[in-house]
Amino acid sequence: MKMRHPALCTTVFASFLLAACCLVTAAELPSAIVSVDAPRDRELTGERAGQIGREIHANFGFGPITYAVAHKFRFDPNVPGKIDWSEGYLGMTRPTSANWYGGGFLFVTVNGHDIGLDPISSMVGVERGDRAILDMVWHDPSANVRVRFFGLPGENWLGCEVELEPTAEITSFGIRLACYPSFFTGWHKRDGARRIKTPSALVEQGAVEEGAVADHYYGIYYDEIFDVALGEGEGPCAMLMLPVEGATIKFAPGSYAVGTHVTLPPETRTVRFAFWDLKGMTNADAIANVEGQAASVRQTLEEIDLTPRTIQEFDVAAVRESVQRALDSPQAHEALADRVADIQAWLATSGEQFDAGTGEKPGVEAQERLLRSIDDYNSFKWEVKLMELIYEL
Amino acid sequence: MRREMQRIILLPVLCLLVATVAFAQDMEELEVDHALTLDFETPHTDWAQPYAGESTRVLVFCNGRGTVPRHIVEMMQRFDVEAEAAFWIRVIDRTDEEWLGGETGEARMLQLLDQDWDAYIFLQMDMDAMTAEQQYRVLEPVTEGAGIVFVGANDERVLKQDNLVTDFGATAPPVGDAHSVGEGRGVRMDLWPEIDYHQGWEDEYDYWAESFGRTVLWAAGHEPAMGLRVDCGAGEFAWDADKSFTLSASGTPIGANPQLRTRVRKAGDPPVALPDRALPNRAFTVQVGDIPAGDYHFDAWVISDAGVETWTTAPFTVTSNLSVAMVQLDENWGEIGESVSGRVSVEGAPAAGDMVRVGLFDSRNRLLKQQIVPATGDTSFSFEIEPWMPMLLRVDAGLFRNPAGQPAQTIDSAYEYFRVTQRNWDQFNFLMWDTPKGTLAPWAEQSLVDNSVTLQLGQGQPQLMLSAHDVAWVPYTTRIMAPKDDDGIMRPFCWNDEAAVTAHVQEKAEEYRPSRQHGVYVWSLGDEVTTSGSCLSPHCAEAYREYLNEVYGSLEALNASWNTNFTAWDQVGLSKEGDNDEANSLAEGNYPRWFDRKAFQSYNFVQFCQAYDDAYQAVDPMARTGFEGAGRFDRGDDIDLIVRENDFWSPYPGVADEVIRSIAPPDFPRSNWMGYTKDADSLLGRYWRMITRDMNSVWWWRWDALGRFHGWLAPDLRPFPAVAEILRDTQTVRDGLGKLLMAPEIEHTGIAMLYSYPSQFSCQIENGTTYGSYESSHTAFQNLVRDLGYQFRYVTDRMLRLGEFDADEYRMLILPRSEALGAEEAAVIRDFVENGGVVIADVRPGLYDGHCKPLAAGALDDVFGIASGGLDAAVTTASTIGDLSIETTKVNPAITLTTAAAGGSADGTPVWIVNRFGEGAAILLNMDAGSFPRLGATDTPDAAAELAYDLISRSNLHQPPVFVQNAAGDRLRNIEVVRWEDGDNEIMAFFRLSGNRETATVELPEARRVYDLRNRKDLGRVSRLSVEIIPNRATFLALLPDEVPQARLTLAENAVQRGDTAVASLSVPGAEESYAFRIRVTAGGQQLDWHDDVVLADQTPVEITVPVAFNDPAGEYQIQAIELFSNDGPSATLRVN
Repeated sequence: MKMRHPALCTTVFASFLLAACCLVTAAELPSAIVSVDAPRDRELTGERAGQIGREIHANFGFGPITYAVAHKFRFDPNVPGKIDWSEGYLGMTRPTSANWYGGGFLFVTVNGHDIGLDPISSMVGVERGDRAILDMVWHDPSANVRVRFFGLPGENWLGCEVELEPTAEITSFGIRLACYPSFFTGWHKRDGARRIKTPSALVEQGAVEEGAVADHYYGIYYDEIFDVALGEGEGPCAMLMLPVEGATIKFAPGSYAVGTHVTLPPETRTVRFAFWDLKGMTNADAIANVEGQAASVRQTLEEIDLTPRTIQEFDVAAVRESVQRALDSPQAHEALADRVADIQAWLATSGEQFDAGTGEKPGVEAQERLLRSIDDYNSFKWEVKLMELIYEL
Repeated sequence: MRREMQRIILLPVLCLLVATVAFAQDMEELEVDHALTLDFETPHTDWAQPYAGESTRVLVFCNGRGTVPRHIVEMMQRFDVEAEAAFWIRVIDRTDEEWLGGETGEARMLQLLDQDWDAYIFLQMDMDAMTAEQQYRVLEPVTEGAGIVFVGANDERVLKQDNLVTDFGATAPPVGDAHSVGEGRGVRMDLWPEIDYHQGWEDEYDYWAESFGRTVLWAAGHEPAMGLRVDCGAGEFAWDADKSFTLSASGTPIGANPQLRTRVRKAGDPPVALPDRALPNRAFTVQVGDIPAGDYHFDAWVISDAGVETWTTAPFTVTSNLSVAMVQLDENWGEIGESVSGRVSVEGAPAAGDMVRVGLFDSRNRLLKQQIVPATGDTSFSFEIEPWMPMLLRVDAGLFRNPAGQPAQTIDSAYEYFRVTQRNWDQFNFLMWDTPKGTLAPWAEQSLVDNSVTLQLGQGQPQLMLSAHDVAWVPYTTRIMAPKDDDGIMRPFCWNDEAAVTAHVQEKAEEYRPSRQHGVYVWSLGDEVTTSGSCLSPHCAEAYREYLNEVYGSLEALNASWNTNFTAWDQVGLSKEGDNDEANSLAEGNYPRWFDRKAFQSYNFVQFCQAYDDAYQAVDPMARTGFEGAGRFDRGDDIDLIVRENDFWSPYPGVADEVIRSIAPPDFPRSNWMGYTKDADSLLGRYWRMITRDMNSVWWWRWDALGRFHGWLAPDLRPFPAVAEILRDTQTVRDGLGKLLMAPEIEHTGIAMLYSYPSQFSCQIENGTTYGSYESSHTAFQNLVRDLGYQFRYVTDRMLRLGEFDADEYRMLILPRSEALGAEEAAVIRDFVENGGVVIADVRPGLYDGHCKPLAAGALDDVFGIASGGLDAAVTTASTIGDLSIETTKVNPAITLTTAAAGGSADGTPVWIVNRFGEGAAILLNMDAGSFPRLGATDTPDAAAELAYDLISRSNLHQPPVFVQNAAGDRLRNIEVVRWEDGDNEIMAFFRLSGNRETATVELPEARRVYDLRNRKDLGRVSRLSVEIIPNRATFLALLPDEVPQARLTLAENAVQRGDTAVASLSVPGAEESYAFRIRVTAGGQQLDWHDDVVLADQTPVEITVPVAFNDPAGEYQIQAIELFSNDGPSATLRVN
């Protein structure tokens, strides 16, 4: 074949060359990312004048679908510690606000108390690279509760783990999910035809289906009117839950909102989900997509250890070594004296649990505390190295 | 070559980013945001480009907004430098700084730190913004041999005084403080100089850019292998003395055939190139003859086959004892028809024959007009300001000598700038929020103008560069808000405190007088303003009484409306002390007293705007004052009053747009703000919606946004990819469509829709909200009419009262939730029906009077043939109308039929109620309009459309002007067809905001000559055609009786001298309709971008002026008039001597 256009040939060649280079580079890039935006505040008006509405968004990037979740609540700056919310406190805002509802799609109740009624303790991206993990922790009156969202490179679903660390007797534990499959029908004064397809049932709008999670471990939520194939709607959404012995699930597809209620045995400590928002996909394609990967996703949820790598790989010995290096260098010691003292104190009280062989993983609260500090401890070694580098100049 | 490679590289990298699923969308966006391309090239000197030495890879840390990143691109243009950047930034709506993209941006930055770089640059940014790890990862490679440059920043931990470097061998040293940093090098240099826009500013910057590049190359260890020095002696020469420069080269060139290249340059003047000289000679003396007084540089390069081996530059000054001491203008601005006048003073002793040329130059340095007079002490000059003149003139006085047989020699010159006031009212405009700042702002401005910007809005006064680019100004003079003190009185003053208001608005007018001199498109009173208000001050109380007196005419009428017993006007006030909003009256059911207060608040706002308008007109008699980004359809704003009293309005998109385009005069500036998404499709949807809502400009917020929003320009000053797509898709607007649509109004097909100001309030009371909102009813009716292929125009209750409703123009009047109707309005509607018109209402028409006072019987009950019965809440139930069943309808259960007949039933309640009245008919749906199925939806049964057609046809309207079908031959849904007519010509837009792309078949009532303006294609004479419906992108057709008539372009004279103005005449013989022509002029195959205009022409010739500057090229000029529809047109050849 003749190269008829030298400039084009150059471009094509450069493209291939760069493609090769970038594929190598891409392997080095963090392939799963989560970032937490700064809070967005707005002053409320009307009956809520004087209150602030706050949203904190976390954005995931790990596969073909960009997911984002948001914590939303209202508070009065003059009444510390008291919050409430409008439609929900944990929404999935991307890829669409419909489907898993951006205004609130996940509700966790412990002993009948919704965890979102208390201020969130932390909302932090705790891992990126081979996987993206976001931790949201509440200190509920009965338990420390962590909702951990995660994404794995190349996957089209967003994982979620709800972990309970009781601080009182647990008598009930429930999770509610809310979605508006494909389209906000009622808002637009439109009628839809909601459907939920599970492994063992097809639940139609207006009906209610309840059974063991094992029998309905996934649900594909779609609307026969608002089907992308018909040029309407955003596309379906779906959920897969790792079965828990004794847990039941109830599907209630209304004409507008669609509810899913999971009732868990009180002794349950961990619940894992996968969520899909299949924006742009036809109903048929979405069903095929989710059903085609349900088994493998379920297996992933069964096997994956979601302990953040920073905790798994935290090198307390390296921190000790950095302290020693700082102590050995008069200049570094002088510049970092306060930091050295703080870290020495922490090592003395908490460092031992990270020495090799101690075994047990930290609980919800302990992980939260450690994750708050771990960057600080890890950063210390860089501060020492930087000081050494600068002093050698 | 390397520049070409940089261009080539960007495309595949972006493609890869898109293709690699492992990347998040946000990372992809960040790569677009951070790209430093050479797409927008600016004038520059290739100081070391291409470079014989190694190319240099740099990683830059800087703020990404504004023009800061452009300094890197400017370096890349001049040197073989490849750069990546990480932006440390405070994005929109945030209060802290972070890496652009947050954690994703930080991850990107860390990935960049993993790569090898020859140098790191901290541009106006301190390194300690980084974490210790990040700092270490920068510094470690520096200590191993890379470079680090702090520009306008420093880090004394890194650049230690003990490590200063002072020996640079034969090569030119870096600027600033040079240091060793381990095995590497570091430099601290000052920030670029602040250079205001003026003639030659870019040449002055060019020398800072040279020093910047030289410094970066040294830091990277890539300084030239050869040395080159220039000796300018004392550095000062008389203008007519021989000037001698000595050069010496050292070292061995890398490439073959090294040559010495030299030039001298004065900022703002073309450089004077001197003859090349061949090495191996290493010492040269260069002589320069007579040159005008001023500051110069002597620049020299050694260039071989491998590229630039080395270079140097040195400043010198040329002096003269004969000079232009002063150019003094009588005024530094003027309107067309006024004059540019002043005087020139010459200092020194002119020789016989010395002359002064006073010239008017444009920003391209074209000499448009000149007057030549003998050089004496003082000389006066005067030029008339002509319509074709640009907005910025440089009035330049050059003192010159004209030796016999030799070219004229300029000895000295001086200039002042003069602004020609222009407002850009006669064109379709694109407005940009804010202006670029900083030394490189003129380049950003250039890029904005290249990419369609014609107006800019901002606080303060317009910079000179806006005049240089013919951009008119929208001063953001204030932001009307209504904060109140603890006593409920507005701060800082009550809107009705006349003395305080007068002082304030006059102060504002004076403050913005310089804007007026530049040319103000409209005067803005701010965005997101408070659009209604009142307070508890005595001033407001008095104004309220005056307002009520005006509205009611008598105290008796007021008492009757309010159920009060006032005996004197001074008793009239609020029902409860401190209740500014009359919430008490609302709670007690005294709705007129509540409504009147609300109406007063809207009126009050408009009156306050008028105070500004009056003040601005005092400094600018043509001032048009209004506000933007505020005002809603059913939140208390009196849309009719705002349009009547204000001179422009650009609200956010909404239902109000339809009212504004219906009732505002065609030249009323109006638009929507856009720019709040990042993808081309959704942005184009906003853009085209403005066109199809008959707006005469598009307003974009803002030019340099990053993060959540999308700027018009990326940090490297190229248009963002989405913006480039917008520009491609909307080119037809700038080719004439925008201007062509400014005169005609959108056609209505005999259908009027009523905007009833009081009804937006009545819909909120007495169970009104159970039927939905006032706005949703209007939205539903608008959609219904459009979905059937008809068009409507709004009329208002005030128009009905004032006799401005031309009943003969309409066959149908739609009354969406028109619950509150005054007696006069009701009478007009009754007359309309009696005389043969058809009215359609959804629910509860005329249950209140014009002040929201409930009536004993509906004001139009006789017209609709019903007894209203009461103000019951809606009953939600199923309805059946003929073949149509509607699952959920909100119906009014209170009505009973008197003379009307019901076409349907909702669980026993009559719906679809038809009554013959006089010569016409009245139809009451008796369900809120939103209950009726949306005809644009795919699942709506055909019976709904058939019923709606039946409804419309009762008014004896003709068939819709056009039928649009889908591939199956069914009615195409979710499509807007918008039509404008100009005589026998028709413009038609097909637009859908969302949905799928599909091919539609359009059937016309008769065969027309059709031109497809999206594809610029003549479809021939057809009555049936295919149109590709593209979501978010409007397709425009022009429908003509026959092909576009032959236009005629004739020149008054076929030849002109340079300095003259050629005049052409453009007409379309026999045409009563307007045709849009883009006028372009080319010379020697090059388009002359200063001649680029859109004109409208019909059978009456329009004059086109083509001013030829004294320093324009001679030769043949082609003047082309490209007609919009046919994409063709006449041309004429002009001989320029």
